[in-house]
Amino acid sequence: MKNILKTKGVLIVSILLLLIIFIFGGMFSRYMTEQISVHQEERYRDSLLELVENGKTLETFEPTEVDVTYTILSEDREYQPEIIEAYYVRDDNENLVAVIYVLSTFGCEDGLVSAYAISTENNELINIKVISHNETVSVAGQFYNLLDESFFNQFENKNLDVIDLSIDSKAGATYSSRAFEQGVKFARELYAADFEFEIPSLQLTINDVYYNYDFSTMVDYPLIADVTFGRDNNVASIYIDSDFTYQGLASGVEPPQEVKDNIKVYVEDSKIINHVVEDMSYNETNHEIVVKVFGYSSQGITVTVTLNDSETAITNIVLTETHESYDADYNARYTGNDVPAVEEQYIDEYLNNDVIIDTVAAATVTSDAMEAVIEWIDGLDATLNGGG
Amino acid sequence: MIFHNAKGIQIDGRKDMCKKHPLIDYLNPDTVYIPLIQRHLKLKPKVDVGDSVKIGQVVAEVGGFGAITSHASISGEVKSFKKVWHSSGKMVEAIEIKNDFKNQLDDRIKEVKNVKELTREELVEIMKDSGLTGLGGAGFPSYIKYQTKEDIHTVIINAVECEPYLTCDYQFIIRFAEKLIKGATYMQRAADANKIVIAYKNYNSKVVEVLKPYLEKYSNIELFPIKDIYPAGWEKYIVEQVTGKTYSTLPAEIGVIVNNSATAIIFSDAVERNIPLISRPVSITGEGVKEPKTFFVPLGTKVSELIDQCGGYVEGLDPMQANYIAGGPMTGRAILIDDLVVNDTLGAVIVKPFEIRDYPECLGCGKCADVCPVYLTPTEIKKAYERKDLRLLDLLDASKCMECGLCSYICPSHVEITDAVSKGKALLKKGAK
Amino acid sequence: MARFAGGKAPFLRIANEKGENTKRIMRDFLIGLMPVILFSWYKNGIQVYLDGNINVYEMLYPLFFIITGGLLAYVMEGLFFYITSDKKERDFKGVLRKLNTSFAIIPGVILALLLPLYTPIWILMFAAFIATIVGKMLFGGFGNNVFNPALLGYAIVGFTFSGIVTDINVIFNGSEIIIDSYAGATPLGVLSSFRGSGDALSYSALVEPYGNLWDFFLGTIPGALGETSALAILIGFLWLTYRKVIKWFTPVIYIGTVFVISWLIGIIAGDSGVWFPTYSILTGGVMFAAVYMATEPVTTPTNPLGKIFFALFLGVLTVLFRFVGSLPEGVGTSLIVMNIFAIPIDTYSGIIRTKLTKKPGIAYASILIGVLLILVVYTLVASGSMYTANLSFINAWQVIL
Repeated sequence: MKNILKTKGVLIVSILLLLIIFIFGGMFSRYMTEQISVHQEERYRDSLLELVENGKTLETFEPTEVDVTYTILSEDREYQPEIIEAYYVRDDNENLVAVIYVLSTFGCEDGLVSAYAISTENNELINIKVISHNETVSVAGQFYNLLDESFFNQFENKNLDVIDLSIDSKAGATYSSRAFEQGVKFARELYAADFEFEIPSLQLTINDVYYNYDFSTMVDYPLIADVTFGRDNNVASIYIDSDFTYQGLASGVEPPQEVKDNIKVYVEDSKIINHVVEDMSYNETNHEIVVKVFGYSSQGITVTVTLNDSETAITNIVLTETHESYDADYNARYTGNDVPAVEEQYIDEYLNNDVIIDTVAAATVTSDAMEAVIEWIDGLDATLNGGG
Repeated sequence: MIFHNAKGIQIDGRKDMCKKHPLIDYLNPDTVYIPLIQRHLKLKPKVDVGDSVKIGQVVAEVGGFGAITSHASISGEVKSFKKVWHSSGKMVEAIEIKNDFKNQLDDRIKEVKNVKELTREELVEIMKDSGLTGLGGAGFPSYIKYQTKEDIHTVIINAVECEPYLTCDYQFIIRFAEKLIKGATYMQRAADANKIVIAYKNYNSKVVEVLKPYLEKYSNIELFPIKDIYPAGWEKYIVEQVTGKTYSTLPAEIGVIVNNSATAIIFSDAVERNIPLISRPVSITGEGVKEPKTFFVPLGTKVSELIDQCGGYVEGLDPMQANYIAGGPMTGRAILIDDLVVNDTLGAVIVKPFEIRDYPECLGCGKCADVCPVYLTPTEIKKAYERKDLRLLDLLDASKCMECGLCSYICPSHVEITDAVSKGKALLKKGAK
Repeated sequence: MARFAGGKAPFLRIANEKGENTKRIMRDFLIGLMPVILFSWYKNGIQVYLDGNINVYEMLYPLFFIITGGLLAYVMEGLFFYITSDKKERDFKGVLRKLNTSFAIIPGVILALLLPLYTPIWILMFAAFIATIVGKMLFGGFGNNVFNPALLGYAIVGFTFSGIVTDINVIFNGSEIIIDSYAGATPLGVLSSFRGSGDALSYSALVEPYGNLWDFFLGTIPGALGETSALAILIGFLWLTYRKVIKWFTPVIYIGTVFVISWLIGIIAGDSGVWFPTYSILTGGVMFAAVYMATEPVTTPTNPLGKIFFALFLGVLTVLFRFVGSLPEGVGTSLIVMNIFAIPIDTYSGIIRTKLTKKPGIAYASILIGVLLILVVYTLVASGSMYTANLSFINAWQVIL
């Protein structure tokens, strides 16, 4: 025995030590690794509770199913936000003070997970908290990073008992902004389904939206919306401007203030006109109408339409001004000529062949804008012919 | 400069050990052994077994470049030719002379009357006749330095003794201060120089004390303190400190001759009384001896006799388990036996117990490169030597090494780095030929 | 290795003096690591524990992890000595005697400090095996290893288990679970996202998420166990310099080189503020490597001039790998590369030292300085093109070169 210890002692002790380290240390490090998720869970719940001022405990619950869909702006399809979790928040006295919905919405990418806390006491959105997201982040502070404090302040104590629950988008982070807006709207739907809360609504139907081609009023009231409202199904034609804001009554029954205030949301949702052509000016002596449309550039595309002296036919269409740059956002997939080739192509085709051409590849935004202009001109032409 | 700050380092001197006792005369050993070797030259004996010799009588000589004579250091009878241990670390042939305790002087030893009239050539001749060599450790015949064609303006007396443990020069100076001054002036005349500089270690204030009185008499003598660092006694270092100039091989190039202080003292006797080099001071010191002492002994005395004079070994030290270091602890040689004779280059024997220890490998700390006084990189030279890479040895200037031993001294891993470098130096010399 | 003390001149050796030998140097080196060890324990254990966020076992873990690293290396070397020894020496006395001059603990401790805290123990064991057995003993033991053992262990583990190490890298230590505002990114990870983005380097993106540069100095930012605190490393540096274990100029030149070149890159990338080079030297392992690895005697040049060249090259390579290479951390890679080149640098600088004004000295000096300059220029040009797509004069400059 003594002999073995003398010759093999080092071997035995070393291997024993290694084994002890392997087993005991391994258990210890495994325990530590498990603690990571425990701490993360703790931290997650703490951060949710921080949303509600007097919240003390969280209790999960199964929210009622609702069937509402929203448009994914970046992909142009409908989807329903995913419910990740839902919690009742109780205070010291076990009273329900708030409810938190953790929802996943679709911004630039899927998976913008945020917690929306709604106070059950005064039907307010208390605040939201972003848990995780896959939006485009830029170190230079572009895209998602543009959503700053002033953006998130909009959610604080937001009253849900209003018709218009819109959120002001941040330019440059529109998709992400809209995803948050959809999250808030969906949270309200869930809240309405789970609690006795009624989402306020108007009895208002948009029948049609069309351009105003009356030369005397077109500059002030570019669009006319035909609406039906009220229990009596009153009908009216309403002048709206390019922002879809109520401007005045064209004909029919005077709508109540509620309708005037919310017409914008309804026209937007109706999606009858997506690309608004703005009338800039109408010159009686030269018979020239200047119209503007917004494509890629925020400075817009300006087109001048000249009529004959009797104002019965279009004599000329001229591109006055453009600030587009087709390839900037499309990694140079655009292969045609330089600016303003796309704009002029539309005008030429319409003037010479009386057709509206298809979207030009890799210049979609500009094409859409030009298509809207040409359609507007086509409508004007039809009005002139029909009327004259 | 970051990489050129090395100008020697301070080493614990341990000189107090030997300073307790003043220089002790031990002039009548029982037997002396006159080695028949001078540096690498073999001497031819001029006596036979059975001859009786007198003190100062020429017993051996060699001609040619570096011609030198050896003299009997005691009077007595030539007993035999015998191999003895020599400070070079080898056994060499020696003339064994048994002391008859009559102290008969050779005829040549007599008062010289016309000291003041001796010419330069005559002084150099005396230097040659007396077999005077550098007592500092190199053992180079002194007269050769004085035969230089260069114009010498300064004679530097090296009284620095920078090696630890060693006190023989110091005690020799204290005892024969006047002789030192005189010897120095003779040397100045022999070199036809106009200035004498005595370089000493700045903490040895006693040297100043004993030399001060003579300075008034000799206006051309100057005392020059040198910092207490190793290797401050290195010729090149002293010359650079004193004159501010450097040279490549010999100090004569810049008009300087350097001599050891003990050499100067012996030289004054040689000039005034025609006594050749027959005795020198030797320190017997180290942790291994009971009472370290410095002796003034005839050349050829056995070290074992001197150790007995020191009260023998310390308790519990077996003489066979001791290491006898001939010369200073930095540059000396290890002799494994106390059966060693005093020769002209042996300034000290340090007795230390043996040890075998575990040392780590070279860790590459670079301390050896830091301390090297000639800015070599010892680790690289060692590697080049191990690969026998002559080209690299040459590029690394292995030949510049002066074997001061600092790199090995400083090495925290006890690597025999000096040894490797000096072997590299030897290899380079051999390869270059 | 047993050697005869007193066989050869000189007979007076510092190695025989008490407290002046290699053992003392290595002990002092370990003491020099103490501030870093203590800080990493404080940051990852004690402080978080005092805040009430973790329990006592979790508090002790960082210390356990570091000690285990040292112990593993020690035991593995013991085993190696046992296997390679003669039958006669295979007892405790023989093995311990060899361990005594092998200084096994240090690479193990450094290895533990380099790894993320949540590294599984079996990965630490594997890394310690690579470090001590492959990196050190197979090269011939202490004093003969080409690579820094700890670094080799770290690098091999980093490559072989990159999945696991990357996963746990997201959470570098206990305190960062609690503070989630970083979203788990280390500063260098953020820096690498600038590569080729065309955006100017900005203080707000690089430094502000972690507080300010003072936090970088104190070390309250994410990072491996030992790397984050410049303050603790500085204390270690002062101690090591005071005890003459390391040369003060190696870390200073290394950090200085990284600082200056980073500054130039900052200027090229459109921000000439001093914050950028300061940020550059305070992030990642620059400080730790400068004090504890670039000065490691065995794997770096021995003579002072060689150390200076080594530090200069290391600094340039660190910046090159960090800003141009695809790895966020450039320190480890540059050290491993320079460990190899330490050997020729040592020889060349030895020649330059003794033949400074003669022909071979000038020739070798020009080789070293030439290579250095080429590296500097390449680093500047390459990183210039990576971090500034918007500055046209840089592109013009590149065409000229």
